[in-house]
Amino acid sequence: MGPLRLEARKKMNKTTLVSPPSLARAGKKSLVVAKRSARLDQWLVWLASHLILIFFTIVVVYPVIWMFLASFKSNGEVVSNVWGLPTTLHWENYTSAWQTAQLGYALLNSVIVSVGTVIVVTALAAAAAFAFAKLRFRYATFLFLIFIFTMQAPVPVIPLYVMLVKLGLTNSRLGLILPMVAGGLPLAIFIFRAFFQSLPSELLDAAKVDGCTDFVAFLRIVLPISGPAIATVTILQFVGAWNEYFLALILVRSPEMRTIPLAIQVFFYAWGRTEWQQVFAALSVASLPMIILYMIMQRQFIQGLTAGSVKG
Amino acid sequence: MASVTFDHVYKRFGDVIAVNDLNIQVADKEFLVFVGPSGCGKTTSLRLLAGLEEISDGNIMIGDRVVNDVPPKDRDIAMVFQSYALYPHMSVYDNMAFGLKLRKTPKADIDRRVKEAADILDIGHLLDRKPKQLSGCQRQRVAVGRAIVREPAVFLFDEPLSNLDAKLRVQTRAQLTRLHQRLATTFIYVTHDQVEAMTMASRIAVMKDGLLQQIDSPKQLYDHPRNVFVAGFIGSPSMNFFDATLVENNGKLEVNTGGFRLEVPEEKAKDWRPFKGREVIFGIRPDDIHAKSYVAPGILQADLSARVDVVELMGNEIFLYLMSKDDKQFVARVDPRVTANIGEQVDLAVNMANAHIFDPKTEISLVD
Repeated sequence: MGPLRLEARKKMNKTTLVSPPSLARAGKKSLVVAKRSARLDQWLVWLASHLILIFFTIVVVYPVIWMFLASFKSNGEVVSNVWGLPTTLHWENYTSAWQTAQLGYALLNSVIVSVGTVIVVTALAAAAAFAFAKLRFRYATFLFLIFIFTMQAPVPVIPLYVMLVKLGLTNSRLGLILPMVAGGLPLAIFIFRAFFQSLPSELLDAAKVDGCTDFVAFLRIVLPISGPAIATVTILQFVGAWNEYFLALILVRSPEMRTIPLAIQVFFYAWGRTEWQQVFAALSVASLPMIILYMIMQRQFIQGLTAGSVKG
Repeated sequence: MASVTFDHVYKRFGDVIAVNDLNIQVADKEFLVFVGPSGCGKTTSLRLLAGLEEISDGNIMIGDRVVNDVPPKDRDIAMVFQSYALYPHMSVYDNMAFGLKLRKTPKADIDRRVKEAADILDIGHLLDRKPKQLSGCQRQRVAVGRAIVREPAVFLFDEPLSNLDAKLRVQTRAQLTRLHQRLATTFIYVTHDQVEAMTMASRIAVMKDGLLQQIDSPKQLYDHPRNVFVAGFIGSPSMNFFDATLVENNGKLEVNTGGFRLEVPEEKAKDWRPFKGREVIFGIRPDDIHAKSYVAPGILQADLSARVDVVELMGNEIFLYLMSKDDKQFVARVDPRVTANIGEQVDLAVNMANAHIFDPKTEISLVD
C-alpha cells in the first residue's frame, strides 16, 4: 500500500502544480463538503426510515405485549396499574379462564373449523385457479370475474341461515366451515391464479410430453412448487376462520360447539363485572396458535404476496 | 426411430395463420432444422408435432401413424425446451426419471437408463442436485438427458442453445451433432440462428410468415437459395442485393446496377441471357467479393471498384463496408492481409460464378 499511496500523492502534487493553487484548494474543499453531506443524507434516511419502522412495530406489537402482561395481573391491577408490569404473576388467571370459558372445547372447535376451512379452500381454490391460469376454455375470464365480483358482494345472512337450518347444519362445525369456505374462495383463487400465471408454461408442456395429464401435472409439478401461494392462502384463511365471530354467533347454540371468539364472550355476561385479567388470559391462549403459524410461514407468506410482481 | 410427415398442415390463431400449408417429409434418422425469424411459425410447427398445439387442418404423421388427436405422451417423442423447463423441486435424477416413472417402467430399468444418459452427457456427478444448484450449461444437459432416457422415436429441440453464452453454444452444438450420430434417431430442431442450422442440420427448412420458403441441405441452401429471403437469411454477413438490369454490350452480357457494371462470364451468361433487358435483383455474397490483390485462383472474376466506408478486422478476415458510385452500401469479406483505409478507393474482383439473379416482383430466383 505504502508505495502506491506515495505514487498517488505525487500525482496529486503534479495536478496542484499545474492548476492555480487557490482554485485547486477550493475544489478539494467542495469535494470534501459534498462527500460529507452525502454521508449525512444517507444517515438521515437511515434514521428516518428506522424511526418510522420502530413506530409502526410498536403500534402493532405493543397491544399484544400489553395483553400478555395484563393476563398476569389481578383484576384490580388491570385497572389501577394499566401500563406497568404485573407486581406478582397470577398464573391462576389462566386456569380459571380455561374453566370458565371452556377453552378446551373452544380450542378444539376452532382448530377443527379453521383447519377444515383452510384445507378445503386451498384444495378447491388451487384447482380452480390452475384451470383459470393455465387451461384454455371458453368464458374463462368471464367465470373468473364472477368469482372476483363475489368478493365485493354482501353476505345475505337470513337466506344463509334459513338454508343451513334446512340442511340441518346449524350448531355444527360443518355448518361453520361451508359458509367460510364459500367466503374464502374468491380471494384464495385470486392469489393462486396470480402465482400460477407466474409459472413458465414450458414447465407444464414438459410435464405433458413426459406423460402427465393436466391433473397429474397439477398434483405432481405445480402444487409441490406452490409453497408461497399455499402459505399465503393458509395464513389469510386461518386468521379469518380463527377470528370468525358473527357466523358462529348466529349458528352455534350449545357450549361444546363454541369457537374461541364465542367462548371469550362468556366473560362479558357471566358476571355482573368483567374479569379482565381472565379475558386477557383467554385471549393470550387464543392468539398463540396464530402467532406460531405466522412465524413458521412468514417467509413463504411474503414471497406469495409478491408473486408475479417481479419476474424471476 | 421414425419418419415424420407434415401433410398440408395449417395452424390458425383467430385470424392469424401461424403455419400455412406446411408439407415436409422428414426421413428416419434425419437431423432437420427449422430456421427463420421470430414469428415465422417454426416453434408452432414443432409444438404441433409435439401435440402441445392442435392443428387446424391437415395431417401430422409419426412413422405411419396419424397423430393429430394423439396426446403428447403417446406420440413417442421427447422435447428439450428453451428454458429447459426442469422441475425445480426434483433432483436431477428424478427429473430424468419422472417420465419413465409415469410410464411405470421397472425401477431397475429406470436406474440403468438414467445412469447411461448421465454417462453420455457427463452429468453423473450431478444426479443428486436440484436444478437451481446447476449452471446454465449443466441444466441444458439435464434437459437433454431427460429426453434421452425416454428413448423416443423423435427428438424435438426448441431453441435449446439460446440461453447459453456464445462459447458454450459452439461446444454444445458439436455435442448435439455427436449425440445425433450416436443415438441415430430423428432430430427436429428449431432455431433462429442460421449458424446453428448450417452446422448441425442434414436438411434445413427455412420459414417466414408461416410459409415454408425452402427445404434443402445446408450446402444447397447456401449455394442455390430459392428466393431473396432465403438468400439473405442464410449466411453472415448477409448477401448483398442490388436493383440491376441485364444489358448486352459488344456481345457481352453485363449487370448494370447504376453504380457499377459487371461483366457476366460466358459460363453464366448462357443461363442469364434469356433475361436480357430485364430488371432483376442482383445478389452476391460478401465471400464472393475479393480484394483484387488476393484473389483465389480459378474464379470467374469481374472487376469492380468502390470506396471503403468502414473496416472491420475480424483477425482471420476483414469485412469491408463499401460504397458504390451511386452510394449503395455493400459488404465484402476479404483476405486479412489487405490494407484498406477509410475513404480509399479499392479494386475488387467479384466471383460471378456464385452470383444470383432474382425476379424483382416475386423475389424468386430466376435461374435453377
